[in-house]
Amino acid sequence: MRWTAATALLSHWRRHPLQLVTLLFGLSLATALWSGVQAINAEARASYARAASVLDQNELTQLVPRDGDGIPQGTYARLRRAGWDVSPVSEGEYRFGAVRLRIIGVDPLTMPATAGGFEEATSDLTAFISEPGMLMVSQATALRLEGNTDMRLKVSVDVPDGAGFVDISIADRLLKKQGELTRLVVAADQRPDLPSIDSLAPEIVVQPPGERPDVAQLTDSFHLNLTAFGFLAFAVGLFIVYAAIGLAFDQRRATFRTLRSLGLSLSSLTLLLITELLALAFLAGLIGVVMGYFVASFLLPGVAATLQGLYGASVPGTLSIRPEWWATGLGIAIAGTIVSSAQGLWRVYRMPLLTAAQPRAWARASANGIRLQLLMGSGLLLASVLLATFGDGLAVGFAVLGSLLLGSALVLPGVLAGGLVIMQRRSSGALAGWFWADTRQQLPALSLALMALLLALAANVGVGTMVSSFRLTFIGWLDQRLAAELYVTARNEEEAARLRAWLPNHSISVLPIWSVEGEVLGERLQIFGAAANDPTYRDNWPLLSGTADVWDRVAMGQGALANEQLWRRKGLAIGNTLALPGGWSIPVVGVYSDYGNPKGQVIVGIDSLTERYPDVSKLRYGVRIAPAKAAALQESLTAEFGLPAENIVDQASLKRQSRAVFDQTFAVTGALNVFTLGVAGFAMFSSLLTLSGIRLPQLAPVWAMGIRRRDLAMLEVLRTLVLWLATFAAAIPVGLALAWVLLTIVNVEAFGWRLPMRIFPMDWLILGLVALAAAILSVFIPLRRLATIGPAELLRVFANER
Amino acid sequence: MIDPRPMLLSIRNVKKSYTTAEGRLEILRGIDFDLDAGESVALTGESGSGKSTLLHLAAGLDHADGGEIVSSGHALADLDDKGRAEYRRTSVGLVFQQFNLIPSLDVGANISFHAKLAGRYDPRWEQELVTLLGIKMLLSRYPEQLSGGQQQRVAIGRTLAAKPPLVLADEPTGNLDEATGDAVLALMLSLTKSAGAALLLVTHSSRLAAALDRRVHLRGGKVV
Repeated sequence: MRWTAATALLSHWRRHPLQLVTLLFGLSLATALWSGVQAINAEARASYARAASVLDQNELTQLVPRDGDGIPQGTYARLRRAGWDVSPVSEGEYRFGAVRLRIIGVDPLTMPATAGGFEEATSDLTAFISEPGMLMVSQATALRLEGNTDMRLKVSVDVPDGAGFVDISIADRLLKKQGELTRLVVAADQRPDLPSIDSLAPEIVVQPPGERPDVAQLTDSFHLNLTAFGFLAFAVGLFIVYAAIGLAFDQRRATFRTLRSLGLSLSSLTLLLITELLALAFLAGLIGVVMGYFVASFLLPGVAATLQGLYGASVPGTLSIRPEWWATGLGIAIAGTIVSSAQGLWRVYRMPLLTAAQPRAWARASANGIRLQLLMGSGLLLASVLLATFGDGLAVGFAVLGSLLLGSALVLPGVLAGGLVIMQRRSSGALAGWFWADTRQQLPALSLALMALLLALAANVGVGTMVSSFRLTFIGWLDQRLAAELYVTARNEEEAARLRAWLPNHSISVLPIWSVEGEVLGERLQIFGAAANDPTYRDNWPLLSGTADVWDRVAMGQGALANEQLWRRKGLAIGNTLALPGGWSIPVVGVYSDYGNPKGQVIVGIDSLTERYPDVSKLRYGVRIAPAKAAALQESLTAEFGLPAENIVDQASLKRQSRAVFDQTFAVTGALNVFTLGVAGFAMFSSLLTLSGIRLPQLAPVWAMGIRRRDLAMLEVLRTLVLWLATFAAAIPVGLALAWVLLTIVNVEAFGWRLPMRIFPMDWLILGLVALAAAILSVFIPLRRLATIGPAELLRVFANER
Repeated sequence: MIDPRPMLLSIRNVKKSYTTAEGRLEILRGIDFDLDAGESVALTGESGSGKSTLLHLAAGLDHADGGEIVSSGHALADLDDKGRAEYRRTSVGLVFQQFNLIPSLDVGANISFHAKLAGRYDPRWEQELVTLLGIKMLLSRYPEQLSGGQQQRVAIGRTLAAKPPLVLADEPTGNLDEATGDAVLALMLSLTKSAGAALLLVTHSSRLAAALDRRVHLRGGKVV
């Protein structure tokens, strides 16, 4: 009985293959975008974990200084003498010519074997520990370092890009640490009778193993953004699935009734439908995961560039296949199918045996449903306003986004229906009146697709406004900030000293770009020195806030500037005191914007910097000169010092490079925007196609009363365009609200900077044209079907013996 | 003796066939038939005899394979798509068994729809029709909220509001019970008469056919 019933149920798909394709494609697409994004996140997180395991040995307990300064060698010696099996690490940033590298100095003789990544070092121990030293780096870093160092380079697959291992004595020399250690790695197996670390070295604290790497924490918000986008695309895809399943259930209600009247129990029928849905979900899930792999492969290089550009996080641009994707991809496909079909299944379960077997009239406006949606949507919009006003934090930011988008989508059909009623009342002609009334009647059938379209368009407008606002602000900021005509980097201190003597005679002014790394307010950051007396800073550095005499105080060593990120994260105010390494306390006198940098930063006067940190690396300089003379100076520098091209960068090139990094940073957002719009376009297409199949009874009487098929077809196009246009118009304010939330709540929490919002009507026009093209594409096949329909098919509507 | 009523519809040697899965199916095999202005004629015959097909051809909804149909002075074979659409708008009114009201419009808008399309909207005539049809209370309702008899009254009102010279009705009482059907037919006959329109009505029922001026019976695609 069950098998026979299953055959009857499945025969529906044989008769409606397009519906089956729509369902499978919608679900596959939704799964693909979701699992693609998850694959990218998983790859990036695995990469951070790998890097942390190798670079930070974070699988082992660490000892770190309590106050942010280094650990004296004496502490290390004391612990070793007491029997503790600890190994010293000295690390910091070092410049090999134009290549900046994170140097990690380790002692291969004491480093615990479980730390991993040092097999190559210990295999060639003599070369590693003796001068000029051996640098263990990745293949990509080795290529960049070529010609920039005398050290032997050893390529290791375990070392991430942008970092290098050296012997601790060499790191100490390069980083000018003078024996001071950054941290101590504690071996897993220790003698049981050791004295406590607290009693031996109260100046250090124990950091337990397994702490999440810094970069993983920094990039959390980015991955959350990506996940939100993936989820949005998944939700838009589910609209297609919901519509297809709903239609399939409605068209089979007569079959359900017949099967039940023939003796199939309600539970058996429900079970058969659930089995059918799960089989379809499994098939679509498999296709979706495969498609997701290609989506992820396509997006990953862009994401890797974004992570590198925004956070300096190194993620390989290639994807490895992980079994968990298959599991989560299939899981999300099945979960999505269950969510999309829950209502239909519930209706079947509750359907009385003798209920009318007529398919639900798609055309009949379900006014109650729309009213309820309007009510729920308004509630969500109100909630988003309240959350935005009184809430705080990244989670609240995303809650505002979620309720704004969902609320707008729910409100849309009600607003459109209201608009259509007004248009119908205002129109005097019979055909115009019918057009508006008929459009209103199609609304329930199209509302899901229109809601999906609204979400996609609003996401495009919102994210586009955010990115364009960011771009405009960033470029304006870059133009001010990169004021020097040339940026010169010496290859070593000796050359730097020669530059310092030579440059003042050949330029208007020389601005040292010197910095040290240190811990401030519990955060590792760069402390830069600025020649604050130079008019360049006063004229060009945009400050978000500051005292009236801010630059004078910085120049006199009486104040420091904090970047916006540090200021917001630590809740600083002008006048607060910063404790800088070396026991230096200095008040904050100003705040500057520092876009594109996830980390905190402090600027002090250059004289104070060199006085407090005499070992600061003095390799980089900004050179002010009349723009017309910059090229000649570049040539002179090359001739005089033999500096390679990458060590002398002119302002225009630097700006070009920065803009390229910026554009690459948001390439992935653009791609996801296009994907989401594509999914929404497909949702609209599938809805129109479905509608075109059941439109004949509504159109045939109008045709019979003297309106040509061609004219009816044109009215169908017009109807689609009107609905698209109205949805597009609604998407603009929603998109702008979305952009406002992104700029003023999410970005501030995620990146630490707040940007002014700008409006870009030209971008809307382009988006509108793309949406228009998609609208025309989506209506093309259904329209062709209608325009070429024969009279015989239309007459069937009037036939008495149908 | 000269017939005072001019001829409204002339059908000469009309043939029509359809291609089906079983092969070519000849529905009409040369029909000859005339209808005068203001006359009411019942078109009867068994299922598949070609009654509805002939009605559709006369309405300009479909093309004949051969022969000639002239209605209100229009030779339908000579009309292009635009001409046929205009013919349907201005020269005929159709009433179907399935009512075929426009679901998105309320009763009032349904009744005036065809008249407005035809450019013959007359509010006073519509008001009169609504009163005569007994549907005044239903004007703001939608078709789905009406019974079958009510829907058919609205369909008749819609057709007659446009004042067509020819009303073509395809089993208009087929979906109604006998009493309702009789009442609807009586109304239709009296209203078409008072509007001066000719009526060609397809029906299975000899009882209903007897109420009309004349009866034409089809069998095997021919008038017998």
